[in-house]
Amino acid sequence: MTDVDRSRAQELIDRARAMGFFDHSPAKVALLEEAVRLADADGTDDDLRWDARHELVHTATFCGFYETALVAFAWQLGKCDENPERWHERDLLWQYKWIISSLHRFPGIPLERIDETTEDMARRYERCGLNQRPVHDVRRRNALFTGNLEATHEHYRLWKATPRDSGADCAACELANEFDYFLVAREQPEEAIELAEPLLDGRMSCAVVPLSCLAQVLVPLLRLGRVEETVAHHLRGIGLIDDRSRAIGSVGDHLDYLAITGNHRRGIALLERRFAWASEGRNLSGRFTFYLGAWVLLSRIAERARKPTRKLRLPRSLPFWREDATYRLDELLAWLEGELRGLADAFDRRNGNEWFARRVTAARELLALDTPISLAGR
Amino acid sequence: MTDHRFQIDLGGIIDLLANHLYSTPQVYVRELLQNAIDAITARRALEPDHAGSITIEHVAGRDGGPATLLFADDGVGLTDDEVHQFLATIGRSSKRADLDALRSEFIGQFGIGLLSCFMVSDEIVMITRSARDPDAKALRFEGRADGTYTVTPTDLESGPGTQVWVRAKPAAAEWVEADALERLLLRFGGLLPVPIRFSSGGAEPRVLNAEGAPWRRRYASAEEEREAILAFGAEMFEVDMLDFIPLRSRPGEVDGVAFVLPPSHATVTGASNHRVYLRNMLLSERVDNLLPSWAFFVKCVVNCNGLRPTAGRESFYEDADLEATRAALGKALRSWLVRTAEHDPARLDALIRVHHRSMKALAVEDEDFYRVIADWLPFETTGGRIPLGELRSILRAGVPPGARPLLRFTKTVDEFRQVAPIATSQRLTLVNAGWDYDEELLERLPVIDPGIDVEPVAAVDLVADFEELDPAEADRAARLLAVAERTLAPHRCSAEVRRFLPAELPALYGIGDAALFRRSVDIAKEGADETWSALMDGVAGGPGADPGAATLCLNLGNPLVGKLTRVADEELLRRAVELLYVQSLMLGHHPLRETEMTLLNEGLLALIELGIDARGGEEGRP
Ligand SMILES: Nc1ncnc2c1ncn2[C@@H]1O[C@H](COP(=O)(O)OP(=O)(O)OP(=O)(O)O)[C@@H](O)[C@H]1O
Ligand SMILES: [Mg+2]
Repeated sequence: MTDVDRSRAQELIDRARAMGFFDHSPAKVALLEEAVRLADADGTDDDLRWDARHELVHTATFCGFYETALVAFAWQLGKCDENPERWHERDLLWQYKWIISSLHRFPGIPLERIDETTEDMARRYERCGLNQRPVHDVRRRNALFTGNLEATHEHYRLWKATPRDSGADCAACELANEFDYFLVAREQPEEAIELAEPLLDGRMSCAVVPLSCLAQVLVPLLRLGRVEETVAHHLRGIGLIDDRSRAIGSVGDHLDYLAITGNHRRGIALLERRFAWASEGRNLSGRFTFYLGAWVLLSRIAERARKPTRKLRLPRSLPFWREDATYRLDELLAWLEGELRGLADAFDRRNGNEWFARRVTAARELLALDTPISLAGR
Repeated sequence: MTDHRFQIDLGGIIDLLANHLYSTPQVYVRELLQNAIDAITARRALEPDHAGSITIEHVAGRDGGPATLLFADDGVGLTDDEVHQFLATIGRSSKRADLDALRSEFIGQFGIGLLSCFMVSDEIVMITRSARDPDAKALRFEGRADGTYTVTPTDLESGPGTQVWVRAKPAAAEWVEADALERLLLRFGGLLPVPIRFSSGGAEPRVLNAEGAPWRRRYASAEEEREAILAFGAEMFEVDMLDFIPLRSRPGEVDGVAFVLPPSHATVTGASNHRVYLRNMLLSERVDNLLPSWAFFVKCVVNCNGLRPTAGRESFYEDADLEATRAALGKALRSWLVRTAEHDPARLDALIRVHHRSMKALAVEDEDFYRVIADWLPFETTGGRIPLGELRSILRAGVPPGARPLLRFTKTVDEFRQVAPIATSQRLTLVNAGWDYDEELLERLPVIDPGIDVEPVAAVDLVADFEELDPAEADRAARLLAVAERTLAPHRCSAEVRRFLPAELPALYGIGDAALFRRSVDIAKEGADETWSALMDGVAGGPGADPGAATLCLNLGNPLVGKLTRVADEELLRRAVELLYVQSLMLGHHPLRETEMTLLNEGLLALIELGIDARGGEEGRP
């Protein structure tokens, strides 16, 4: 019986690998999760248990299943500490930064725990002879996403002051993070966009970048009156999403864009297609951003609709799911508002500020914008 | 303060190009051809009817030394001024004056291509006469790898045009050998609309590219076309292709063909390397960003006029034009598939048998495509692997007229294995949607076929379908149920008693997604410190987190369970339930938590002991 589990686990890992390094689909995650389960059920082959998790951490992270990655990673890290001769922590450092920079997404994790883990990451980098650049980078991101601007600026300064070494994050990712910093922390959209030019025009890219930049840049560009530029970014950004539920937050940004530019039909199609990623996934900050976008889109539609109801294909798992697919817009908006409030409260309580509540307010303010763009035939 | 000019070390630049920009010294052939073509294009701006031609001569070296090559064109040539400005100034190009307008005409743009010659030669000699001025004198330009050059007036019999002489350095002999050169000319210039004449050893020049692109030729019949194009594909890629799909796209101005790879060559790792021509000159044989990612079952040969190559000329800028081109090419592939589904289903069938994975990827992306292709896509079911069309008719046949068929599927392979025997015993057709794309496709099936319902099932759901007990049975099982509930509660599992098939199965463990995740957290926490345990609790908890349900369903139809309803000894009952629980976990291939391990170890011993006591009691009776 155990032997069956083991060979089956190996088979699943092989199968997942055959899907290719750049495949980050939920299907691949499912294969690897099962491989982990079977390898554990077998329990005799630690190499196999490690391999399955190694693949899983990578795939789940890029797919946006951060919780799955975290749990698999925790096991690996435990192994390293248990037997450092056999399991090398150097092999985990690259992934460590992904894990830590996803922690802020879970309001159930207190800030002190994030700090403790980051300290641990810092120690391990030092022990392996790497500098602290990636550590400053994840600190800055966690600070930014939890709304602590003072710390964000400080960690940006430290990051800038530390040269790249072999442990540094990929250059495209670093640039995307810097873009984020200028856009959100400094509120300097023009500088941010100029900085991100190599990402936006396609000169630089990697497995995750510029997917998010292409989404974040849309509304700021509209605000700057650079309307024409947005079309290509929007189309390209949507194209890159593919089956990566990691992009759920970016989908929210695209929904904002489609709402403001009057492309409501497209907006609805996008909302329907990706709703389950948000409502069923555990990535709560992604869910928050998606719901914000959904709220903006449906509000704009409600403002202009002649009927109080609308046909929508929503996931069955929603508590108010309806067989006839017909929903009252006001009820839907009220539900979204409730969800947003719940999430914002949870995040803000953990962060000790009102950063998320302010994001809700900012979404309301978006409705003041109205920049029709025709995407027909594009 | 004085301003200084940057000094350029040509040796350093050449080294940079050779080692970092160009993949092989062979590209000098490409760069020289490109310049010749550009010159002819430029001359046409002055003389629209100018046909143009390019002649290459291979002159063997004396005493077996390396050869000298002559590349001659009857293009626009260069004036004295231009020689200094463009030829001798690195990074300056005559083709960039008005970037956007000219981008659509010339291949060159960076002003560095000529330097590639220095990879094979220490000296470039160019003799040129400008077409701009009828009285222009011919000029001789000599550029050397040490960064010096001279320009002197010279004699040239013929009309305007340019001759480039390359005397290979000894170390580069292999790159200028006659046969190799001929192959390179054909490879890089095979599609050029201007004749390329080649001669070596003083023989009569031959035109190398008389045939042009095979997809632009006219054929007597479809068979002839198919044969010719497939032969071209086989020659190009050294693989016998299954089929071909014509490609055309207005964005990027693309034309060409996509070859359908045989299964052995289509790697699911994606990214085929396509062979791409830019303005009919071979740009690269390794372009991997031209098609959407789902198109990994084809390999293309295409020409494009409207995309911007990177300086190394091996790929394109990831810009909006490329994105639009990719979309348009994706559309072309798609509509071919759609047309074939309608007119030549057998051909499509053959294709899908081999490439269903990418077809499914495409169907997920694109609803219209899904609609067309749906019936051909294969799925794994309790009745074997069958195409969706067949599956739909099976389901439809299984319900009375007017009723809606229900397609049930499991979300994971593991669940499928767990549930399949039950489904089979209940005569349900169940689909395994644990593999790539299947779940998404099935969930969207009602969109393209509103007459059908789909439903994901887990073991738990099937149990809910199981027979309820009648009141008398329920009464009989009440005590067992109560003990089971109590026993399993600490393991975050509830209990039920039902009757289901197969009767050999005493109990079935069912678990939903959330509870499954919770189990993996529990197991990871066993080896983790306090901080990591807290992190994992943090991701598993949080607002709206579903603690998740797991259920152990005991089968009253099973003889052992039947006996258990008659056991009075609570301790014995508890131990039995614990073991049934652990056994069904193992049956479902779930790794055991530490607490469950303990159950297994202690439970077995305890049961043995209880058994011995019971026997011992009997035997000891007077
Ligand atoms: N056969 C030719 N006939 C006329 N002019 C030429 C010829 N070859 C080169 N030149 C001139 O020399 C310049 C430099 O050539 P080079 O190949 O280095 O750069 P380019 O073609 O402009 O750009 P790229 O680096 O993209 O090839 C050209 O811009 C052109 O003006
Ligand atoms: Mg050139």
